[in-house]
Amino acid sequence: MRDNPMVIEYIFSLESGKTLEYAVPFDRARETKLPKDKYPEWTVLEFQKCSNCPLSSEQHSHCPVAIDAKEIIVAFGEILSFDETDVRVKTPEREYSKHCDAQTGLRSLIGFVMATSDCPVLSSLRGLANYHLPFASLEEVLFRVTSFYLMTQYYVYREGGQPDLALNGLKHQFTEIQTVNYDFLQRVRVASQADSSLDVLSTLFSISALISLNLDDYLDRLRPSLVYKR
Amino acid sequence: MYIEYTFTLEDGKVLTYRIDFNRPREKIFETDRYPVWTQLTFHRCPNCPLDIAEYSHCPAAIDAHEIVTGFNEILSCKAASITVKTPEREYFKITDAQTGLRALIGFVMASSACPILSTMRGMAYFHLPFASMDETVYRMVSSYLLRQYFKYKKSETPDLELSGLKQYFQEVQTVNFSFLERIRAGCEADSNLNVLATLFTIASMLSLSLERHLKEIQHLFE
Repeated sequence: MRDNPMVIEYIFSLESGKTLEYAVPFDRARETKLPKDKYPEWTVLEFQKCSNCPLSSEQHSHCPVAIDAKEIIVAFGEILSFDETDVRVKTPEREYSKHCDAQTGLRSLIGFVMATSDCPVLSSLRGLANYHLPFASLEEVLFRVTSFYLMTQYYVYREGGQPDLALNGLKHQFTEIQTVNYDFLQRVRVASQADSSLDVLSTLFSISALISLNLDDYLDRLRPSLVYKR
Repeated sequence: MYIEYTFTLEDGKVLTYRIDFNRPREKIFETDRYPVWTQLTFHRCPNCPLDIAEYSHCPAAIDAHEIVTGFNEILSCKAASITVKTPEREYFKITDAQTGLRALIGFVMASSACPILSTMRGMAYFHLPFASMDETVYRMVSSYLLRQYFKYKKSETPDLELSGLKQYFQEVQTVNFSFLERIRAGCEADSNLNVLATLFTIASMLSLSLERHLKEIQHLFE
């Protein structure tokens, strides 16, 4: 258990010498009803609502991911105007850093923000975000996502339930997440016609299409590194 | 794949260790090339599956011998700034010297040719420096479950009781214990080895309290 509330800090050092910092708390408790005039129209839940969204507009006035994205997007355009950047990520356990293209850094940040948002679909990744790994490669994502899912199945088994070792539930989760990614991109695209500062979000989202799996194939390829025998 | 550990000590001195994930070695060495305590038959682990006709030296001991230089100096400082470079990213932490050395030694042992320790090789491939107890439990158990998944896929019976993992921890403990004996016996000749003794504790802690630790992190998976 954590003694302190967990905050992850992303620090971008641009080639211009400018430094931009984002501190994202793991827990961001928010009201489910927000005043309409406080947030832009594109963040309203009913605006291009995801086709699989389980939230009811009576209880939730806004899309939690859109609110999070809106709050974090400041200066994204400036960061993306540079090809490369130094990114440092501070977590309670350690610091991570990488010199990389700006997109890689922002995608990593946005990934953490979305997985810890109140979106009922994306928050299936919330536990994994607790072990956030910045700049994860495809191989690392695959290892993390699958082994994390298997941990949840282990606890299902422990509680007397039927564990899903065929990963059917995981594949289903990914389909749902992809729908959200796709629909959220539509939300952002429609919104950016009126507000060009949102263009950066649509760039980030069109490349973030998670793992459009063939999960089984990927895992087969991963297997030699996991069950390596000399 | 290389992993590079750089320790910057309080007096400004910098020590770097560069470890190759793959370290293919001969099985038979000339006896005088390495110290006596690295020979396979010297305080050999009772559960060692290596054949003494085929192997002259203990692979973990050879690895330890090669990196232990400078460990005393690092441990004489309370804190160190430690940077770990992997192909994907850099990790950084200012921490006590022991935590840093334990992370380094853990990686070296898990990627060694020891047939018992190298079961953790897959985990070492996704090495996480300075792992907390929670992180270690999570990584150990989830890697084990991934191997069970591959078994399931091959229509073998997966072990969700973690019996195999618990048994494995016992094997590792036996290796740790015997390896310490090896080091203690070798210490008279090489005082650097003393410090290794302090670094082998995680596996024994885990084998005693795995269930409790699993309960502690359960909330993250519900």
